[in-house]
Amino acid sequence: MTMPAAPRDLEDIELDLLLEALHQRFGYDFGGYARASLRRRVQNLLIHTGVANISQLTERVLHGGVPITEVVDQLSVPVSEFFRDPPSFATMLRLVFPLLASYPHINVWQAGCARGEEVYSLAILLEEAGLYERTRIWATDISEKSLALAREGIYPARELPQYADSYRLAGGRHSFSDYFHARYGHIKLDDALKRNVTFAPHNLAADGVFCETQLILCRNVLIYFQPPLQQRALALFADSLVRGGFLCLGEKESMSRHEIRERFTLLDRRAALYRRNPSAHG
Amino acid sequence: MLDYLCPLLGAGYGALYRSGGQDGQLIVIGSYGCEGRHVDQAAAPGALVAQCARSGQPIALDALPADYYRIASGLGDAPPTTALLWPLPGIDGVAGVLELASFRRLNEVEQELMTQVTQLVGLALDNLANAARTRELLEETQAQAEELQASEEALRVQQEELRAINEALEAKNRALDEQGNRLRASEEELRIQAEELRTTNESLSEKSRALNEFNERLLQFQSEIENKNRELEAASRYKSEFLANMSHELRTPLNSLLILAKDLADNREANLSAEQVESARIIFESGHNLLRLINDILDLSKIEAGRMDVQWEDVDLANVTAAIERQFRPLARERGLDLCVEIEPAAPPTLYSDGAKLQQILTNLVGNALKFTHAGSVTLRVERAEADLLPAAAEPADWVAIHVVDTGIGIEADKLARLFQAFEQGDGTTSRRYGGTGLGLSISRGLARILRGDIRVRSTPGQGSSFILVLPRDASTIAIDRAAAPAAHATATATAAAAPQTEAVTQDPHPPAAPVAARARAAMPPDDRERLAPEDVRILIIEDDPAFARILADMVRRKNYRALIAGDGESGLELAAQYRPNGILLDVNLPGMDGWAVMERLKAQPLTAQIPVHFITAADEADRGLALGAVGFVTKPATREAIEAALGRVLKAAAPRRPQRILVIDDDDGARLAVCRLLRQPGVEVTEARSVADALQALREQPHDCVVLDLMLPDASGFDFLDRAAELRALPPVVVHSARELTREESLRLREYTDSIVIKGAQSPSRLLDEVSLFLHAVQRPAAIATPATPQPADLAGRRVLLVDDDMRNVFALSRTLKAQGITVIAAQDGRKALAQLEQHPDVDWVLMDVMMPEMDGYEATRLIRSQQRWAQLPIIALTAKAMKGDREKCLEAGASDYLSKPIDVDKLLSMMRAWARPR
Repeated sequence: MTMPAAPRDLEDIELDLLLEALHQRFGYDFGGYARASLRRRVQNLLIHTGVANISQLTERVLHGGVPITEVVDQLSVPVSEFFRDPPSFATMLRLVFPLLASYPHINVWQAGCARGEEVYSLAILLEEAGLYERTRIWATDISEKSLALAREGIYPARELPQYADSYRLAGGRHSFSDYFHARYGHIKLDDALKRNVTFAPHNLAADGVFCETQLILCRNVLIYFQPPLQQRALALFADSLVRGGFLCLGEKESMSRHEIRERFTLLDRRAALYRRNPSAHG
Repeated sequence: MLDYLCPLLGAGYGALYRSGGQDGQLIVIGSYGCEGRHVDQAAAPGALVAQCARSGQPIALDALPADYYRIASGLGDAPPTTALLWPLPGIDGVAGVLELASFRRLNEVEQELMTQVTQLVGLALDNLANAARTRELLEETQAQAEELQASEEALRVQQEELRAINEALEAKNRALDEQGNRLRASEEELRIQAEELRTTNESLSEKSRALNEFNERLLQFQSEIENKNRELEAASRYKSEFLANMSHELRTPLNSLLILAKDLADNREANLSAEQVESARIIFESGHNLLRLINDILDLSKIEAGRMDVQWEDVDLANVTAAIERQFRPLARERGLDLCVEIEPAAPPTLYSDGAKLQQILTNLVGNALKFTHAGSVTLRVERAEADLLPAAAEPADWVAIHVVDTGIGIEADKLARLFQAFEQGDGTTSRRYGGTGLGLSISRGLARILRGDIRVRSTPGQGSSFILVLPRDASTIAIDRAAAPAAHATATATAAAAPQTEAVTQDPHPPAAPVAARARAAMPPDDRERLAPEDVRILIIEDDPAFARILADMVRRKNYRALIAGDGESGLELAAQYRPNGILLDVNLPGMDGWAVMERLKAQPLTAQIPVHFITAADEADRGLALGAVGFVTKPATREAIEAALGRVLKAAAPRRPQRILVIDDDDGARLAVCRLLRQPGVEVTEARSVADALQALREQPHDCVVLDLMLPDASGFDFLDRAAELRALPPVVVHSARELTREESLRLREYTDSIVIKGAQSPSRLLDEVSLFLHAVQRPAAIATPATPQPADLAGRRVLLVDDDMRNVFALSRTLKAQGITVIAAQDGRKALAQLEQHPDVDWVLMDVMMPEMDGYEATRLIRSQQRWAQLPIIALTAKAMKGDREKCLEAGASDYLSKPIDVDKLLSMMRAWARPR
């Protein structure tokens, strides 16, 4: 005979049911996301949608009323900024770009591009390094809403001074203002920067390798994942990278807990910059 | 009208009024022969005109007063006599009034005329009024329309403004939203960090808990070890006791033997021949040596068993040294050596110790010194101990050091450590040459320790040795601490040569390891020693953990090699000598002899010295392993890849090495020189070629391990070279080193031969070197092609497929696979190009459509293809990295016939293609 399990927190059960619904109905598997963070974001979603509790949210998601894109968008923390963490970009400029220059065609994968700020930052730096012409940036995100906004390339101008600073610290050679026009308190990035960007939905929890890349940026995404999902994403990156390809994680992220670190060499701790080891297979 | 009527009727005055003014007032609209003043008066309400209009009846006034009105002409004026007023009838009542004043009354005809005229005029007036009203109304309407327009305009402006305000609000909202999002996200990140901290904390406390447990276990182990130690000591004591007893038993008969032999040798009765005397002397000498040995063993066993009795007393150092000098003076003189005794004034005159034992130690040390010194001197010097000879906390003034310094042969550094080991004769030849049991030093040190002191040694080979007996002034103040007693605190100034070390190892007698090996084998997984064929590649695994040994063995077998397993170093060495494996995987932490020792012995044996050894271990001492000659080093826990790489290294090292050859093809002399210089290293030969012809010639002459190719060459292109070289012989790995950028089509074409393309630039040398070294050292070439796991019928041969994908790696691998099936592959890297290709090749049998592509993605391309009637039935198989629930539906919705997720399973793809192939 088994003892009845201790009664679980109601909200926990509701959250499970919501996640199950998202998975079964829409194929979005948030099971591998960091639980506590997910809970907070679902709470935000409740406030945002004006729904009283998670069960009601589940109901509204399943029967319409709350669009799935909204849910995915809110659950995936779609935020970044231009030239976020400038020293990392500077390191990339120093250690990665010169080697990228030795490839005839460069594929860069921005995994989890959110609203696209980093995509444009990268495009600008590649442009200035004279590499952009033969580069294709794959900007992927789980949220279609984020992708739409990223494609649009319009951002509030409020933080512009900070962006300009970051741009300089990241190693920008001209002026950030060369790359956008500002109006109505917003900035619109030059469409030319988008010419080699492909925005596409991609789910690190479910989807596979889609191209061979020389550089992958995935910053401040893995922190929202639990270790098994982190491991999955990192394996995906390792399989996508050419031998000697580069992976840049977020400042607080590392692969030290994962076996996959064997397939990489840490180039710069501060920039969380890794290089894929050459191995016999691939 | 008045102008016509008045003369006709003989009227001198006429006025025409129209109704419709304000408040129903009548307005003058025409007059005849009058001035406006009168008319105005007449028009006033209450006047006759109005009365006429109201009543609608004509009014005739006769006999008008003279001042009523005057009809004036140029010659004079006169008042009219008659005033006539006719109402002018309109449709809606009276339309106006006609007034005439005349000097006579109207006749009937005139009146009749007037009746008719007034009706006509009334109608005309009415018409006029209507027209005027219509115009007014029209104008009014127009005005209203304009007003409407204006307000509409205003409204639009207002709307515009509202919209602007709305937009501003929206923008603000969006900004707020985004700000909120950012805040939330950074909050989120902070929280995650806090969580991580907490987890770290938890794992730390977990770890400290584990540490505590570990510590406890350590303590437990310690006590177990202490127990074991005690047991061991007990066992050792039993052994020593046994030896002590044994010695006594031996000594008893030996004594009598010695006495009798001595007696015989003395030949007191003079009845023995010289030869017999000599024999007796030899018996005596030998017996005496035997006795010394037995005494030494007895001493040693007593020391080890802790049964050495000590007679504590005050010992006068001068007396002791004098006794030693007396004892050895003759021997020294006999050997032509100086024997000096020096006592420093600072040295204490007496010790509280055991005089007999002190003398025994010094006897041994001085005896040894004299024995190993062929020329020069032996000095016995008593002084206060220097601090560096003493335990850390000791006070030099409380200690005395007795140096025995010789100018003899000295001792090699590597032998110093073993100098004091009992029962272990480092160098058998020494004792044979110099005599003695070899136990003296062990006994001396044992005695010194019993006296609470120790013996140190310093030596320089060829210059002499210095043995230093360090003793406390008062042994009763020093506690015995066996554990702290240094095993052999030997400092050496020796510049030890390598030769003796090798000698020491090589002369190691193969230990009779059979029982050990048998014991270790019992627990180990079975290996392949029973079914070895001569041509088999054998890998010896020396690893004590059976589970891990099994893992290694399985990996070895998977590579179709044979595995031999040894659970310890001894049996490992045995197997190595017996089976001569092609390579050895060696664990460092082994029971008994550790991995380092095994490695040393393997390298010392000519039979096994050439076998490549790879360390796999938990220890992290790569340098040491490599210094010993290991081909590689993997630390535990090792991954499968790491082990496979290790296996690869081992076997590569096992293969006979020929220099590796690199062919560098570049027509620019400077560039070629630079590349050659970059790549040239020991074991690598670089061949240079400046044209395709040269390069092909070089390849014909000898095989190369790697080709570095510039695409722009004088006689033909690099592509030609590759095509022609591939016909010549299997092409080695190629690194394309190009000065110009390549189109995607060129890259794709090169992919047939290589995926290493290095564009010349600042950082290209380092990558070029990386790529080339990778090829030179790679265990095998990267498998670029996916092959079907099951054999395929050739039924697809001759068909055509359009492969739409922008990922070169995938395009290359798939095309190779499909081409191998006899299928013609047409490639396109995005949707737009796919459509163009279809236009050119309308007869393709399938389209393989990647979904994620730049420019135009697979969904849209599929939709566009399907929108054309002629391709409604064309099989389109979507290939996608996306594996989410809706993705399949999305593909099918767009018009794909089927769907396959990446990474592509070739068998599945082929069977799918077969299913969709149209019959021919």
